[in-house]
Amino acid sequence: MPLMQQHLQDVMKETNFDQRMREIFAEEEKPPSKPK
Amino acid sequence: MRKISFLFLAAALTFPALAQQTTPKTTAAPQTSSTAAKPAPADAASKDQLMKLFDVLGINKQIQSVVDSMAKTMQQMMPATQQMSEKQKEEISKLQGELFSKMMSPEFIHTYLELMVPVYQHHFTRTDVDQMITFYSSPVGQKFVNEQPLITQETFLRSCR
Repeated sequence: MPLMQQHLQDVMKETNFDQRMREIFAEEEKPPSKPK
Repeated sequence: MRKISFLFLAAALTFPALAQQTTPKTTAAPQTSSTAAKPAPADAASKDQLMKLFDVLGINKQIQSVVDSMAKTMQQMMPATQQMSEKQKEEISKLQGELFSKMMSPEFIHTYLELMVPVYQHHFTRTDVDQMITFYSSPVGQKFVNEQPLITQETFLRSCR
């Protein structure tokens, strides 16, 4: 299991996974604008 | 986003457990997990024999089948967890494909198979492995090998319902 976990972490880093996921959902995660 | 990241992780970490379904059943006495660290018995199967066994077992294809199942399941689960636009779905699908193809690279599969060698050496003798190679190379053995990915896939999808 540590081998797989380490490999997964390496691949996620290599594919820039977190950053790309953040970008894909960037619109969705924008805070709602305050009502005027 | 966290939910989807979790899905990737959960599916990926499921792989070793699923891959173990592909290992053949044996009549040999069960060993403890710590035996892998001890030297192989004198009559243990050779690495070449085991690589031949893994080859006739089609382990590469079985691993790929598990990965495909995970990818399909994740695609089915995602719209249920988040309302995504078509563009998001397309980008997720692309990222998922990239992630899995890198995860299951030939280099990694080779590393994984090499890891399996000492474990198999503690469970199977040369004679055992020769007999398994003979069986799994036979028409019915190959039928079993060829049907197994579909059986694993169908079982995995049923378990996710």
